[in-house]
Amino acid sequence: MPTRKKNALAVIGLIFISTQVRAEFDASIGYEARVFTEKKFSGLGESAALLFEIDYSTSIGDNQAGDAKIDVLYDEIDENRRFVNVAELKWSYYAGQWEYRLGVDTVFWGVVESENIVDIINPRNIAADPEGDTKLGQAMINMRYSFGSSTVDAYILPGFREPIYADFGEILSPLLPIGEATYESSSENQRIDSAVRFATIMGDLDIALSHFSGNSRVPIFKSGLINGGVDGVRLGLIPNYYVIDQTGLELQYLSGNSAYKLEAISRHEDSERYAAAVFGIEYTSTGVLGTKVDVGWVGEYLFDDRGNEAPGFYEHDYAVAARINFNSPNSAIALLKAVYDPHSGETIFALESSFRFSQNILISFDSQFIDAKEPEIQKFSDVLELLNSDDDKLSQFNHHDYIQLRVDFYY
Amino acid sequence: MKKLIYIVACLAASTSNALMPDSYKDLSDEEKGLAIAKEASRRDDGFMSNQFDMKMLIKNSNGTESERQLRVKNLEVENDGNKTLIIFDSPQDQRGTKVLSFSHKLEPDDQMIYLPALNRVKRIASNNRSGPFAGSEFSYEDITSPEVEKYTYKYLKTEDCASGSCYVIELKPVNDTSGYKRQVVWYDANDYYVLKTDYYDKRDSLLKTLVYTGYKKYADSFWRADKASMENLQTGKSTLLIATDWQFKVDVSSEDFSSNGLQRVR
Repeated sequence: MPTRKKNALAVIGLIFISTQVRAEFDASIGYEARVFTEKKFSGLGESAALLFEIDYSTSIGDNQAGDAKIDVLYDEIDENRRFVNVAELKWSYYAGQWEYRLGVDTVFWGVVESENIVDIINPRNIAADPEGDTKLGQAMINMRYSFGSSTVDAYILPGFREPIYADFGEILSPLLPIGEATYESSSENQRIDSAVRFATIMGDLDIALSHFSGNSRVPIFKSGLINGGVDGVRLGLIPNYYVIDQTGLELQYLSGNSAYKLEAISRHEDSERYAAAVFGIEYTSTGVLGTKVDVGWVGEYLFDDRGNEAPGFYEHDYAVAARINFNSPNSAIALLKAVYDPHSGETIFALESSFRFSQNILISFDSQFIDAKEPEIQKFSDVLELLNSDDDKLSQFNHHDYIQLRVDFYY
Repeated sequence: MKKLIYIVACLAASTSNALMPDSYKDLSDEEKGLAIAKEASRRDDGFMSNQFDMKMLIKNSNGTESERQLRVKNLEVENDGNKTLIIFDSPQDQRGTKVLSFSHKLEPDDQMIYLPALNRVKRIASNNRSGPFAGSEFSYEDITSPEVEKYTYKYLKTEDCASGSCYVIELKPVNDTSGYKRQVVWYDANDYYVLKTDYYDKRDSLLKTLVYTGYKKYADSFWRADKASMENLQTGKSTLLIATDWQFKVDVSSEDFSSNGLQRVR
């Protein structure tokens, strides 16, 4: 017995010695100034916000890791743009072909460039980023098994955080205030959701199949009475979260300088089933006109078989984009994007660009312009009509054009 | 960074004199060039895996510098090109960005990039290898594995060079995805590592010169340079790479060199 004990101690000692703990800490602070270019129509003026991001990661030996990534946004005007988002707070454990992740994480699914319809685990943070690229952290238990160039993931997702929308009257907020959410599930936003995904690479082809079952991460809005106003109730929008089942497919095929992409979903929501797809091509031209500049050309079609009934903006739209990489030492990049709806003529134009001003300072310039039918609001019923409009969905945002300058300092 | 690692690498030569081996004597210039390139490649076989830290200093024609701090891991793949993983530690706005490339003998290389802001692994169509790497004077082509099969060769001459005596070989790309018409490479005549490369653009004018300095032998076999300096003679811009903390036969797991590994490697 004593020998055995000694051995056990020696083993523990060895583990201790061989376990190397490494930790890294990063932080950045940003200042964001927005100017709404159609001030006289929208009533929106200028606004400023501060952003903080803290990133901490530690690895214990070579099979365990801890990560934390926390964003804070504080807008001087819009109260909904004052929040803390835990994007990551997770512990990971690796055991051969198995990986386990426990905590809060942000997961990306998808291949296309315009709108990742298969990407469903994390709710979007619309208030932080009208483009929808910023997501809210999701609590999860994730198990991954990998073999060859394939991975299988299973997720258990306890509860979720409702997407954050801009406050009433602020940039890209709907015409009516948003009230308290309602849920199809009796567990409301505490329901335990689940998802699985299989992804594989076969030569130049990438394939992924996924299924999600649980609370929709995007509400369907209905107008109704909500709390607020002088009488304690007023007309507003009630977000309703249905329990959905969504099966997703991702395909990407690479050939020369082209990437052919498809995302498709079949979704059961509110007792009906519908399908949606986004597909297109990304072509990269390198060394354009004898310079060092690379341009990635994107052409995609967005389709939803509910047509105009679809609650989103993209039901039968074309997206084109040019992603310009100047390949300069200051990492200057620009993305020009337009989404066009041929039925209504509505178009969204967007520009995203950034460059490094000095080793620790990044400057970004973004803007978005919406070209839609001029909303005619004479009386209250016009508001409802506009909200229920099937095709002129962007009319209500017609005067929400903005330009935005952001400066980020890194420590 | 394959070039630092690969072209450059050689086993210790058994002889100290730099006379051309007898076996080259009866060969044509083309055969001689190929034989030298193959020998250089053969001497780097068996490195299995390595890693090093790399500082990249990019200098504009007006002298302004920008800096990148990278970590590079390489994995040798039998019967195919090698795998290279590059992790960005700075500038901080790009920290955590990772680039993974699988070099192939004749087919286009495979490339994946991990974007930490989105937590997204993006596989990219990388048929064109002539684009600059991270805004430097090095192109992707310059830093990925120069597999023997990617070029045709011609021996030009033997001449005195910084290490004593060098074979001077001309390389022409087999594939038109290259950004160059040809390269002229100076190989150390004893140890077959590369001392210098001249890159000629498509119009055959001298575009860039790459000079390696500070060679040391690692793991008793593999020659690696501390510094690689690329100068663009047409624009006056330059990039200096400084490699430190070379480690050979390290325990890099082949799992790290996959789309899954790209998400988790630190």
